[in-house]
Amino acid sequence: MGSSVMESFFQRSLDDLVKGLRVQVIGEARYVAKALEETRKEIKSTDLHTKAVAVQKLTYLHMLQGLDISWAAFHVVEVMSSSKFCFKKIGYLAASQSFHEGTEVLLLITNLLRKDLGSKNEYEAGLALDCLSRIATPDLARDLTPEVFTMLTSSRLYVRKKATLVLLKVFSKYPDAIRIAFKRLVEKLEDSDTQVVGAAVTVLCELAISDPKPYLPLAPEFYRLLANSSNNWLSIKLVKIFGVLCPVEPRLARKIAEPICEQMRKTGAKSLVFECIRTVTLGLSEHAGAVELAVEKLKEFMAEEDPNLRYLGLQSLSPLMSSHPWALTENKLLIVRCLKDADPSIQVESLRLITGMVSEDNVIETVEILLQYARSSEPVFCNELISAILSTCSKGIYDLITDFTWYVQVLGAIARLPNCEHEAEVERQLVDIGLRVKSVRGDLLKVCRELLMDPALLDHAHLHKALSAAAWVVGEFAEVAHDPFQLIEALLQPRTKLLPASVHAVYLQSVLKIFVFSTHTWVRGFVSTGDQGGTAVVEEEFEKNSREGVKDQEENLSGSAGISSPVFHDLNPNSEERIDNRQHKKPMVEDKEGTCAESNVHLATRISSRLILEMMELIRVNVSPLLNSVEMEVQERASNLLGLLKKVQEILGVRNDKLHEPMDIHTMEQHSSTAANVLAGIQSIFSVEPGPVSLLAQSKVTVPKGLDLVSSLDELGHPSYVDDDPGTEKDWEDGRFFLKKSRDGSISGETSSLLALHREKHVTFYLPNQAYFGDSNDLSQPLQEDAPMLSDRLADSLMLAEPKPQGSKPPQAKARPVVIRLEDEQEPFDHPSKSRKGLKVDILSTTIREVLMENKTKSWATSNRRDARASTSKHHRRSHRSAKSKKHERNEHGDVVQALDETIMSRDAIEDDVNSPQIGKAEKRSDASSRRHSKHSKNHAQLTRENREGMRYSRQRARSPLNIQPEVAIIPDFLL
Amino acid sequence: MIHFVLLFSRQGKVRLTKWYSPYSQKERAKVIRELSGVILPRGPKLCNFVEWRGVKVVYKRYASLYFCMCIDSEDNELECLEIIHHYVQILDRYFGNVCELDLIFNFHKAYFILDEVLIAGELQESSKKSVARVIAAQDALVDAAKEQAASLSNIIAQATR
Repeated sequence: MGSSVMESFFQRSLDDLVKGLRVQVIGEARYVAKALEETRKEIKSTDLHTKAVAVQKLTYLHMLQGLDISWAAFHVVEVMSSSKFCFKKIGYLAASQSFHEGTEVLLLITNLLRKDLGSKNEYEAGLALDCLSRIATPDLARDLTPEVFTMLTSSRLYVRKKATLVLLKVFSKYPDAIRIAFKRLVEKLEDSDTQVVGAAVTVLCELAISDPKPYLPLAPEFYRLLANSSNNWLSIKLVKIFGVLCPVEPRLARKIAEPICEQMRKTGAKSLVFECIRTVTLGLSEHAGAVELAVEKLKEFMAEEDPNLRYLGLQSLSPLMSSHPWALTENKLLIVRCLKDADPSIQVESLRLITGMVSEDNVIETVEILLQYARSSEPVFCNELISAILSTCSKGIYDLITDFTWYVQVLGAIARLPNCEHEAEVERQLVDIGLRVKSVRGDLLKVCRELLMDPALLDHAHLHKALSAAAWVVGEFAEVAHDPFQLIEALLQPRTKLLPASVHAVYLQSVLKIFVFSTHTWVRGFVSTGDQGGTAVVEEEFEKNSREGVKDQEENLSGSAGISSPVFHDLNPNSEERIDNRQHKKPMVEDKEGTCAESNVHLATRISSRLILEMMELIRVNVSPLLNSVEMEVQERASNLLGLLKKVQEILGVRNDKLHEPMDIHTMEQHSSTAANVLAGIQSIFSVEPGPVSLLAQSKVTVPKGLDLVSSLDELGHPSYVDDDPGTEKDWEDGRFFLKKSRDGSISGETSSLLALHREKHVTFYLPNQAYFGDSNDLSQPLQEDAPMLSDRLADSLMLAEPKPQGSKPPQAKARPVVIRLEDEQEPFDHPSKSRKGLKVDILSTTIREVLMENKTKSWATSNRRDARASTSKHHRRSHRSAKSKKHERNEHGDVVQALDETIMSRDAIEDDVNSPQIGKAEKRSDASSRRHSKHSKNHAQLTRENREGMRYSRQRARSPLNIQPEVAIIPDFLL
Repeated sequence: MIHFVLLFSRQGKVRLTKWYSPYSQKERAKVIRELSGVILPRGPKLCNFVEWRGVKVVYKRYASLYFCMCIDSEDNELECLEIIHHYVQILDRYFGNVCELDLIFNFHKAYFILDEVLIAGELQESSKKSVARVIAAQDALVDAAKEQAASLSNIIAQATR
């Protein structure tokens, strides 16, 4: 038909398409759409040339635009099956580019591939191999394994080489192929052509990386190859193989260390040197000589101009970090210099090493260096540095830090860095250190005060979180402040309006705390220095007790941070009532009390009556406008603060309209003794010291009685509800037992044992055997009877908040301040790192291990294994056509596997042989046996096979005493 | 092993892609987009390796073209750089001072050459001469077949079929 000729004459060639695409004026997308439309028509042509060109154009568009061309798959197959090489090539290219596992026509091309694999034209066979390596599916790999297997022994180098490498893909898709082809693959290590040897080594190297153990028996081969290798590509692969083999067999490492060093010394190729270094760091780290040489080479790398070598040098040092720290410290200068490299990846790498080197001794020096670099770095790297500093120093529970004064200054400096994006972490650590390290609070306060006083800092939104932490710290630890007035001034400066509401609220709360603290201190100082010395003592006693009363009070309020004014009113009578009851009680927080009272006396001499007056005025003036704030949180805190202020002023008889009247001061001082009680009460609200909360705290909370998480939802009968957390139910059950006990007082035998178990397991959230309230049963008893719920909650929350005494760190030899550490607190980064090996152990390596170790397991596993194998061979029978006659198929396949087994076995048998042509021998023997068997009839063959199995079995048995440990890999003696 | 080979121009135009590990069409597009975004802005004095999603990408720029290969984390970056260089040298020999345009107009040939250098994500031939010989032989085969197909008698035979 003429039409096809016309088509091919007027078809646009690939060149036309490409040219058109380059000069198009209608937009690339439209041009492509148009071209696609054209090709859609052309591809249906009956003329193969037209079709092939269309397919080629499609391939181009597919690559360029990532177009989906699966619709053309069938046409591609047609072009592939052309007998003309030029078309075939186009077809195969299209197939290997666009086909994937889901392509349906893959089912159709098995025979096509089989035909081409067996083609006389080596380039056609090569095309098919290329294509198979790209698109192999388990089915394709299974069906074509025999062809690839045959090609391994092809007389044509080109085919042999490709077939060897394609095995890698075939194995990964169809692991059973290993049983058939592994022996031939190993034979390829002795091929006459170095390219084929290289291919075989490459395949074995890839296999060994995913699971090294089975390949240990091949070590002598590799050793020989490495000794004779003159090809760097090959040497690299061999050295890499040893890198993965050495960690599993230390004896091999001893043997191989010297040859590897030899390679390192003599070669000029950096890639080979690098591979050697890597092998040494991964597998030979026990060998001092090798490591020294490798570090020497690494030093050269890091001093190079080429950034590639610097980067790799740094990267290779990291495996030595734990085993050979000297390698890092020796090169510290070089590493630190890389911090200012132009290349970010080099910077990050060097930072990683530096943080790895940090110890208690050099933490200060290192962090100072990092901080210095952080000031001068690009924002991205600056934040890397900051995050490195923060995470290194807070590692564990600030394990590395001995000088907290220094560290809080560092935190302050970090907060001020203009590019800092880790303010949340700074915030957390400021508060955390305040809570955990008592002795540093004074310095912490200083740092925080500086942050708060600098009005410029309020402009930076990224600083607000750190400021909020600072404000909280100054409020909470006001007792160690030197100048409360200054703090209040800083907290109330006009620019605080720039703060977001949540932070502003913290500011106001802190003002409240500082104000209460300073007036209280003033009153106490005044009272105790005045002539009413007796009052002071009484008051001290009062405070001690009320503090505990207040603790209870606070638990009732479920620990609200902002105590509202009604509470404040209620509080006084309440705590006063309790004083009498609990005079004899042991104070819980004596330490804090002591230091606090001491510093208070110091302060009291500095706080003058005039200062208090000024303070009140300052607060009144600055906070009053906030009563109209739109932010509810701010408004509420402001009104609390003003309410309290007013009350205090009332008591002290201060009037707002007159300022600084000496008379005012006089009345104030007169009323001070009245105020003392009130102020002490208020102060005690804030005096309960918060503690750090464990990350696991949530799990300690028992589910309260009324909370029924399971049944009520069941009643709803919602079909989608699935309780996938078995723990919830269990906890709930346990909780019920627990409550039952407290309600009835007596428990049945079963439940009591369960309860005892539970108590043992979760000691921490049970009440101690002697009730929390010690021996003062007058209070604790009624509490437990009336409201078991309350006592539970009380105990829980107290346990959470209180630092656990038994959990505190054992006393250290050096003078490190006490850092509160909760019992169950673990380093959060303590996750076991995912090991690569674990991920990679797949079906492939299992099969290989099976193939390589089969002979050993056989002596134990016996007959059912044989059956399994027989069925596998049956499975393959169909696909296993080769030169031999059909009659002997089964037998032949059996032989392949058998031969492989025997190879390995004979290796075992001649373990003590010095030279390695074992494979040759074994091969000969197995060939001979296969020939012998193929002569027999089918029935006979089966019989003989049984026989042979039996023979082997007995031989195995005879050898088995030598073979007691199946796990020990066998390496010929000459290596060891 | 090498997971994929990627060639793109300084403008981010794809010139060649070869995927040795399975990537869906969507993933391929994403990889190309992300990698060109990572690699193109990198200055000339930076190292040729990029850590990207748990694997390593080794790239090198020749004139206006970037050659990228993605390798496993335990592979040798320097070796990979040499493979890239090996491939470029073979291209250079074949085209005679290869330039981007050669690859644009002969994209299939760039593929055929790559297929002789790499297979299944591994280097298969380290000798440039062998590759050149094999490519020449295949070119001869193609030409012969084309000649036959384009011969006048063949056209007549087709037309009168």
